[in-house]
Amino acid sequence: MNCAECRDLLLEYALGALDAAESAELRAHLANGCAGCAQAMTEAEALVGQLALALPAVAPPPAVRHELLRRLAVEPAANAPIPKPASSSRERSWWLVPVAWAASVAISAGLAAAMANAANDQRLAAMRSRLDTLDATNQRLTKDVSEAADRNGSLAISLAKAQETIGMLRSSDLSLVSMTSSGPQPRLARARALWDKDTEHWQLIATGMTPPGKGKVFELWFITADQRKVAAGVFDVDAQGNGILTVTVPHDIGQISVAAVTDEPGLMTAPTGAIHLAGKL
Amino acid sequence: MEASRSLRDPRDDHALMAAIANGDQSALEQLYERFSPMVYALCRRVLRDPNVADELLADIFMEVWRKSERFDASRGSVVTYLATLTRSRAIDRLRSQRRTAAAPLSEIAEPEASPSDPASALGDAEQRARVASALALLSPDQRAAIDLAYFSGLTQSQIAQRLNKPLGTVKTHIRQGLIQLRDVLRISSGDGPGTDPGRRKSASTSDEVTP
Repeated sequence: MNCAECRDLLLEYALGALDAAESAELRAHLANGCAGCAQAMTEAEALVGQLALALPAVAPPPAVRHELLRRLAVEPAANAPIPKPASSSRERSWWLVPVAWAASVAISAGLAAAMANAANDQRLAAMRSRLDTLDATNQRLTKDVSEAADRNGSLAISLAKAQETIGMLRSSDLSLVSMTSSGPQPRLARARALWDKDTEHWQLIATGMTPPGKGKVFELWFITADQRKVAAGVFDVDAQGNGILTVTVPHDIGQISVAAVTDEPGLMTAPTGAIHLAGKL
Repeated sequence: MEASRSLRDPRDDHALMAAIANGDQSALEQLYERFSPMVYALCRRVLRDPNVADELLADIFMEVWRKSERFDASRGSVVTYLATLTRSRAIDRLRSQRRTAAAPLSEIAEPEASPSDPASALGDAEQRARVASALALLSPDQRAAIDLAYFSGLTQSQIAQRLNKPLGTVKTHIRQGLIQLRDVLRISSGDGPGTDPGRRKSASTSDEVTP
């Protein structure tokens, strides 16, 4: 592919509309390092990227921010200035290497005894042992911090969920939907859903549920008046049979007449499993 | 590369990315505050499933954090970088879902992005309005083809199949649509994406592709 052919297809490439073979040829050409084509590619990407800007912005649920912060706390960037075992050992090796080198040179030169380095060796050994202790302490503290961050993260998520529920209870337009057990579930299994029509959030709170079975999850469906089954999200239940799922109701869904929960092998786009809970709206 | 300061934030987008590359976590949080509504809108639009979109949103910002060196300020704006990254990851996830899903995605993409939410959080209504009105100038066929490529990750051949149209026709719709979009946006703005005040020059001045 030459430059002219490449430029001819750049817009389609940036849009992701080319077939695999054409894309590969174009990538190969760009990889040759032609500056003009690279610049044209940047412009094509900038143009196509604007398609995303045409979408109305959607505020993400607060739980995602909490999740991000949790992951950041557990896993600081490689370039983060936060002290980590790797960077501290590098700092240590800075000065330890010359010492070790000097010691080994001394030993290999057969001058060990003459230089009264028994004392040096002892000092070196003491320093090494102290460093090992520090290293162990450091590792333990890092692990503690990481575990604390994990606990903090799961607490933050629980808190965010609880706050979500409280926020929904404040809604000016709230519906309560009851869902009752069906099929494989015990009679006492049930769920209630809060439907906050202000924010279009739907929170399902299930209780008394028997778990969906190994390798399976529960999936919530909105069934519309015209019998479309729209996947809303998946959830699991804890050992007590309790589960919570918060989803956003698609704004273009139309009238929902039934909500149902089935067991599925994963997030499905059409229901395949048995109905466990159902409720009319 | 040094960019002018935004009125609504003391640190401009490129400076944020530089701070992130230095391991400044608060910079990543600011980036999230600023762009997560755009990134999330794109995740939701491509993936549909809110839970999958939630997960991807966090993944995207973790990827920005881990691979901050990938952003090249000389190659474009932060908003374009995020949009390109998000779209690519979302389409990857969509394709793997399609492979595992028992049934094909039933919901076919909406005809076009709706500019119906002026009170959104991205804070650059002007930019959105400009793109939306440029999109509105396209023919429905052009829009549908571009939409299926960008938001559903279909290639030209797949779009032709999906729309039951000859491949050549689909190619023409996409090409003419993109060229028209580019020209309209170039005319309506002497500047680049307004969400990125740091970007002084993004509208193309080259004319390597002519209608």
